[in-house]
Amino acid sequence: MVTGASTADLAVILLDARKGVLTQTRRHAYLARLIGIRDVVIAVNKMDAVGHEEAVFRAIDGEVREFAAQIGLTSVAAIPVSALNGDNVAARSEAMPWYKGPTLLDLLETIEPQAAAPAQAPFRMPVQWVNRTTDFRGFSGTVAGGSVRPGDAVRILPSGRSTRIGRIAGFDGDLAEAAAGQAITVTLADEVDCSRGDMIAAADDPPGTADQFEATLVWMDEEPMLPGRSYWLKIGAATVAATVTGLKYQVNVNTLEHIAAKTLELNGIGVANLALDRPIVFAPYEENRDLGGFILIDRISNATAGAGMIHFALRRAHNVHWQHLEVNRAAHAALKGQTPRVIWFTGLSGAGKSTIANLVEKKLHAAGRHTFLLDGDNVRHGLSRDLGFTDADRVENVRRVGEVARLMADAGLIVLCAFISPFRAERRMVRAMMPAGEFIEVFVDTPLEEAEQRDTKGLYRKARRGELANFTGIDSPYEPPENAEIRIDTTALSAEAAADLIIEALSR
Amino acid sequence: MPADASILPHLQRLEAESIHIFREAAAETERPVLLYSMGKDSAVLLHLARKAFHPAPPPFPLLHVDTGWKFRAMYEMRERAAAAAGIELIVHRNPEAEARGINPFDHGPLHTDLWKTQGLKQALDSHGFDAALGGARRDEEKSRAKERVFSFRSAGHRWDPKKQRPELWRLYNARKAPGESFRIFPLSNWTEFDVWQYIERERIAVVPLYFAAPRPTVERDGLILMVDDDRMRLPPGEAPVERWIRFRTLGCYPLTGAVESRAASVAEILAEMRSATTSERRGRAIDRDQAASMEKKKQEGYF
Ligand SMILES: Nc1nc2c(ncn2[C@@H]2O[C@H](COP(=O)(O)OP(=O)(O)O)[C@@H](O)[C@H]2O)c(=O)[nH]1
Repeated sequence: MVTGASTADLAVILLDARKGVLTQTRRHAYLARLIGIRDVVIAVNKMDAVGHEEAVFRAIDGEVREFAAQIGLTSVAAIPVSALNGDNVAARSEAMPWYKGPTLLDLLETIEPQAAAPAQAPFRMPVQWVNRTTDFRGFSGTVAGGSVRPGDAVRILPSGRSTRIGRIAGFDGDLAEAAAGQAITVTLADEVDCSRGDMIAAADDPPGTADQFEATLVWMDEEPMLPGRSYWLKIGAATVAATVTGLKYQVNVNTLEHIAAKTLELNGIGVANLALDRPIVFAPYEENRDLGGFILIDRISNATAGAGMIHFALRRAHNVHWQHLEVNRAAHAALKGQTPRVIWFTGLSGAGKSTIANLVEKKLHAAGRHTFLLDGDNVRHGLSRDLGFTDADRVENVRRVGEVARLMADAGLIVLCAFISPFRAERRMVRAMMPAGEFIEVFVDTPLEEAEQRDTKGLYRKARRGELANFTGIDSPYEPPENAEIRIDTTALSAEAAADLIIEALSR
Repeated sequence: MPADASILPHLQRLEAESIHIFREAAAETERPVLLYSMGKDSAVLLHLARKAFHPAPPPFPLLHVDTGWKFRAMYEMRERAAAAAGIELIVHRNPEAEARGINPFDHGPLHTDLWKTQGLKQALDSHGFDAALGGARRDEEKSRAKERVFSFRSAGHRWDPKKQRPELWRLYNARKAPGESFRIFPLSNWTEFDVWQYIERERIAVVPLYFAAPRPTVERDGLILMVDDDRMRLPPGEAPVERWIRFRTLGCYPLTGAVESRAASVAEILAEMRSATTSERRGRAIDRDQAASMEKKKQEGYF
């Protein structure tokens, strides 16, 4: 329903005169409103079955108006029809002389389709494609708002560089003007940087840029939405990494109630805050579907996992600028005479992560390196005291640890992290936080049978007895790394030998 | 709209959407190719591709998966169109089908499977194409109505209904793992009528067989077939009959039914279409072979 509605100008909702307004009618009207459809027609069908009674229709019409007002739909029309004989569909009904309004077809023909992109607005064009030949450099895209002429002053966003439009190159000669909805190619007067994902916009009225938003999310994947997990966000021609930083509430689409929730399941709709890894150019969805509608893509399955509609940017993005510190990352590292690193140990519970990480830290310390070890023992009791072992909590735990490790690496330290961290997506997220080459993934590869047999902490026995829920390897999945920098086979190597192997790899 | 004032807003919207899709395809896939079959949809597709990337040539080659049994007029069009667009043309003929002499008279559905379905997969694999742009439209028949614009294919070109991705607004998700690919349909939202109107307005050259003329024909299983060369099998005593015919769709000539018509120009075709309601694919013997099997063909990788 949401998918089809995203490109529709108008919705016709069919209801049965005998049954009146159903939950399903409300849900469909709500979704139409959510996706920004302005005109909704309610076709009250099967009027023949209620004796073509005016009173029945009036009652339904009244109810429709009431809930339309409730959800903020401004243009709703109800029409009494009978599909059986085509009454009030294409031809006026003789059985319902009391109805003086238009037939369904008349109404469809009189409603002006909404332009997909607003014409009376400042110029915006997301750059889809850079068109280069030996003597031509143009920028192609579909105009997402306003219009443009050669000579117009424009700004390239998010960089903010100013220039002017040169030509609008058309297949049958240059164009004098191009308007919203047209797919065009423009040249720029200056050699400014501009590539796919950037936006060319009116210089005197550019759109906002931000990296944090509040948005409505519609979830479309079997895998539930997990706050803290990293997704690809595609908006216009830009694709960036994004995480949901918090789900404010989920909407019960039948009752429109707001309910507290931590995740969104398939078909769930909610309002959430998102943080991106870099700023994007945007407009609120209400103003512009092309600049405010986005999809979220699962980074592992590549499925289109959700869709979103931007409400507004969160102030923080504007105001909390990264302090440009005098004593920066490089200075910290230089004073310590080392390259900062995050060495990330992943593997099953009891695999030997903590043992090996401890040995590595001792050896590094002895060699005069500045290190710090983060593991379940010092994190779970403080920083992540409020988290349990559900998928959502595991994701959040790893995200927090990742952020702390990143700050410590910024301080110049070699940070050792020993966490089960069962999901590829989160390990990849932490990797993405770090400069290339500074994240080293160590897969402590111990088969489940072996770990279970060692069972140093007695946890596997407990889990098998059902006393520990969500235990990795038993009733919660572990996704082994596909491209770990270092793999340790603990059935073949002693912990000492493993530590030496890691130190050896670090010095290369 | 100044420069394009002659185009109906409706066609202009369709045109802009198709160009947008072409640019997304080029930007988000590594090695796209345009499937070109010389028909009217291919002609429109090629025209739109040229518009999308003008003044540069389209950043992908044309691929024709040949069977050796197309109408002669189609082969003439193939060479001309590629040259005019300044694009490389790749012609692939399945060597196995060639060696085994597979033909539409003796081999029935196998002809289509080996030459077209297997031939297409071979061509895509051997050139490493990860996206094939085609001219299929949703109005052609039911099983295509729900097809995506970016249709995802698992490794081995399998079409898995569960892996198709929702498409919202103008946002297409083209991410994939190695070995996976896309079929991309820029004309998804066009109707046959739109195609003809656009051909008229843009003065796009199409194969003359689309226009009615007196042609040598025979009847087979209720289809009017054109005798395009002397490979057509005629029982002793049968002589081709001259009829005024035209084609709504073009394929292998022994499998493609004509309609009796006097419509000799695009305007006359449009007028005829306004009063007719049958599907253009009715003229294809392969579709009637196994009426409900289009879904199956799609899963196997037939276009
Ligand atoms: N319920 C539950 N508890 C666990 C699980 N894994 C570990 N624990 C407990 O949480 C502590 C810290 O876990 P963590 O730091 O994530 O893993 P570790 O470094 O491999 O021990 C362990 O010592 C256990 O007491 C699990 O899967 N389920």
